[in-house]
Amino acid sequence: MSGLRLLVLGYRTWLIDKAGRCALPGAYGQAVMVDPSSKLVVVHAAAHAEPRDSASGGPQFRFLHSTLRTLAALSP
Amino acid sequence: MSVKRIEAVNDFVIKFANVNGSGSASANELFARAFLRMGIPVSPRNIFPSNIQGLPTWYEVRVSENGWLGRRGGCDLMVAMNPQTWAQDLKEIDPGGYLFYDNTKPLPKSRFREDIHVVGMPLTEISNSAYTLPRERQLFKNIIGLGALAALIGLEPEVIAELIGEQYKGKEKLLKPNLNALQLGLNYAREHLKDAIGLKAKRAYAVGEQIFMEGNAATALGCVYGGATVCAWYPITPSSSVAEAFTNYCSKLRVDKDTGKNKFAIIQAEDELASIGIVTGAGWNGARAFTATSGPGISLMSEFIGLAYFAEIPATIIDVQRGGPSTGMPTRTQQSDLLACAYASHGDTKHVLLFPEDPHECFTMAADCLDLAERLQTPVFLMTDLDIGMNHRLCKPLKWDDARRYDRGKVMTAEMLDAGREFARYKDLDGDGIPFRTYPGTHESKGAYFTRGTSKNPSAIYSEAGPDYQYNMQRLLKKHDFAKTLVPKPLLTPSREPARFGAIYYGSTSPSMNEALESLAQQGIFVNALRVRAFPFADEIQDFVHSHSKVFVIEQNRDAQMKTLLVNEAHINPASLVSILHYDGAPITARFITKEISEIAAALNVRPIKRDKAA
Amino acid sequence: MTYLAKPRLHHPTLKKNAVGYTRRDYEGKVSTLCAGCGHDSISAALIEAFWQLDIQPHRVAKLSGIGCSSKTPDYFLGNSHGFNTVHGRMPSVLTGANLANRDLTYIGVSGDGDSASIGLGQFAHVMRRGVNMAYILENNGVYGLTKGQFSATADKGSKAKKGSVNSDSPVDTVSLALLMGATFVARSFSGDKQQLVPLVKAAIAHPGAAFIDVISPCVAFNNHEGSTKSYDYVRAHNEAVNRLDFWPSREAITAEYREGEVIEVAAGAEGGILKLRKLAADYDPSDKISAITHIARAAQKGEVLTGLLYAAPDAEDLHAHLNTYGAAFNTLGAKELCPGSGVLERINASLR
Repeated sequence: MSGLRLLVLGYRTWLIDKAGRCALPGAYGQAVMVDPSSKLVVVHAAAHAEPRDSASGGPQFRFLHSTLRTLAALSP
Repeated sequence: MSVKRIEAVNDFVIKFANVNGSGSASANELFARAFLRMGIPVSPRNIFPSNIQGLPTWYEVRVSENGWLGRRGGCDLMVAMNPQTWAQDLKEIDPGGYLFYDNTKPLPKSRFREDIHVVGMPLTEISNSAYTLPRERQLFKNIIGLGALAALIGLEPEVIAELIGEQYKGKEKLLKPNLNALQLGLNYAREHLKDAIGLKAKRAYAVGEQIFMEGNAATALGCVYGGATVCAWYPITPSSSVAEAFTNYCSKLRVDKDTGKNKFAIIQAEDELASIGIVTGAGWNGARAFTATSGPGISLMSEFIGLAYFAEIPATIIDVQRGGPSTGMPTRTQQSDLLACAYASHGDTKHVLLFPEDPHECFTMAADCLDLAERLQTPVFLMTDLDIGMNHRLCKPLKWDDARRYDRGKVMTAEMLDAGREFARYKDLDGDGIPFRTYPGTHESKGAYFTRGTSKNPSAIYSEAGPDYQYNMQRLLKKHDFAKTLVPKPLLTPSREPARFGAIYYGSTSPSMNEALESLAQQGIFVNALRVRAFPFADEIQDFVHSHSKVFVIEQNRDAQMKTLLVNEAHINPASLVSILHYDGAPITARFITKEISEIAAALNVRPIKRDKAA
Repeated sequence: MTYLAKPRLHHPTLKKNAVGYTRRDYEGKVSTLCAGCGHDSISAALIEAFWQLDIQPHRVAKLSGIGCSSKTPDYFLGNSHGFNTVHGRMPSVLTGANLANRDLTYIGVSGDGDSASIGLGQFAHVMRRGVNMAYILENNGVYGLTKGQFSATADKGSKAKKGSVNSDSPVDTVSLALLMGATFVARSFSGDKQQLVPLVKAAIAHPGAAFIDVISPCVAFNNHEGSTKSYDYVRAHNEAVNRLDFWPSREAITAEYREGEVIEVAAGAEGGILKLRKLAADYDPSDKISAITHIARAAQKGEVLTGLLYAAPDAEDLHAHLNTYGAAFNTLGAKELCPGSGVLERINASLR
């Protein structure tokens, strides 16, 4: 019943906001997030104990997303 | 009297009940724009009959500092100016809400409700004593009413005066009497109707750089920016204003400065068959062309759509959807042409559809359609609807990248032919299913071919041989599959908390859905949402459904057409989809979606399912 | 189904036209129509006309609808793009094609079923718009491809091969084209190359909507006793030959006529009589009202006029009406068409 279980399935690129940012999630919490307009990429290495960790998925997603948005806003 | 009183700041719904043709439209629009100038988001909606004068019309203004632009449902203040719909209008007011009406002629108490607040004002009397001409009396009555409402709600009079000034720029003769009428209304309300209404407008900073625009105008501008040179159309509600706006924009933006000549051709055709025929001819000959229509037009165009699909000719079709079937509800909104467009025409066909959510996306996707049509050499549909098309909507400003070049697709030139490049019109040389084409007149001895709706071999020679036909049909399928990689991706909105349910929605449902997701979250119901933006479906859509135990599919049609398409084309188990359908012709509301989802969610949660552990 | 390619070897002595092409370069595939079909004679006339006019074959676009007539663009100008569209809708496709590239020559080929029945609306409107084209209607009064049903140009009283008699009034495409605003209107007979070739040349050179109704008997379904469009009938009803000469100079399209004469052909059992009358030498084709009167008078006498009925001296086309840009639309890119981000910023500002 994970909110973000969907994010660890398949080799997919998920468009996550209207600014065109996307997420490329993997197993064990690995994740890449991209902000095309500022050409910023945030990479999160493996962090979870399980391939699918439903409880951590949501907070991790929001953390990465807000990190990316903040960095993008700061970028020249 | 202990009647409840709705008190709200920058968050309410006001509905004007008018008589069509009474001159109320411009006063209504001034009212809505005044909020925007005060930094408060609004979304107004015209609810009108298929008629020019005499029948009832409504103008519903959603005021929302939070920026919820969908229809909310319900009504906090009814401005009842139409005796014909009095009873119906009265019923719609939420308990504790307000009725504003013209009390020049007194009405018996039985005509009112006990649980609302009634605010009467002798509009006709004031107008008649100030003006003599019947036309003036009618028109200025609307402005007097506007002045009174401004005083009652707290709209800044200077803001309205400024808007009136912009409207009558250069027509000073009309400006002054309008300002006088506004003042008459303000004065009366300040004197006689103090604090009669608990709904207040307060200057905010929630509009920002957003623009206020009709979807049809944005679509037309997208066609201008996207390089459309030929537009052929036949008038049909609610799409006519696309062609009209295209005409208007072209006359300003597409006339060559040196020669005064037009870099566009607009044909109001004799019917929809001719419209799509002209688009097909222009597309075949290498010009970017589009038509704008609605459901009945799609039915009429179907034969040509099949030709363009099978002969592989670019065509952009704007479908501003309305209530069907048949003539249906010409002035009401629906999302009921999905299947008709996805599979338009006889035989095995599949078409590319794009689903814009607002004017901003109407603009970008209209330009995208023109690129896609040429890249894929096929008809591409922009599936907008009346709600987006014919209402002003607040949206992100339009953006264009000046580095963008038009994607003309695979066109073989005389130079390429002379260099010995292989040309076979219907042969897949690159593995994407898309063949090369040549424009007529390219080369004196190479690259000419005969275009036809009958089957052919890869070299465009007439052939009814089974293998030739199948090769072609398989290639068309491959091309359609390849289109997945080119069309706009679905947009994911993950919920704040782990969610068991997903929701799929598209097009004009978007603003109501956004609001519903928020109110569901407040109730503790968390839903991951995916906005589908195109067909063929990206693989992510299938994954999304597989990742949830149930996925709601929210649509504005009776037959769950998106669900059908998902089951058919994304191979999704229908048991995992739950349809939420709204199809009375009015735009779907946040309240409706919230109620439906929370009820179904509650019912689903009752079931003791611990299958994961039991298994 | 014939896929036989014609031999491409040219005789070295074949005469070339001013742009360096032989007559063979204007030919197409071998016809799959019935032997003796009047439509093939029309294709031959088109080949001759384009060759004589020194138009490069690939700078012509051929468009047609559906039916026997609409198959013929495959049988001439093999190096030109052709488009066999949908039934009765060639005019709209040709209109769009013409808008996309004004630099090509457009020829529309249609039949009587295609133009007078299913496509009557598009036929009328393409004439109204003045699309620059030569519209050739190959008129046999019958549906050949579906084996012999009446079309809307079939004369009242004529008999179908299966025996039924037509009781509906015929559509006179020539009168209709005139009334709708075509600026060049002619009628001819597929068996009369002397008259047809100069008419086709004039129609191609005409800078507006040019229409030729070519009576073209169907050998399979309409060349039987009782039909009023059979060869025997038409030949027997033709009394004299008048010749149309054409000079392809753009500024002066003039025509020379001999005295108008009539040929009457022995009619079939129930068919009545079709009389083809060639226009008289003193006929003035620049007068539209007199053209309408002439056609009506002839019809009253049971005659069908052939020749150039009307050519507007000051014809204009759709591009002129729409004041379109000189370069073909299909050559314009973002640089010429896109107003750019600066303009968009101003538009955004006006929407706040």
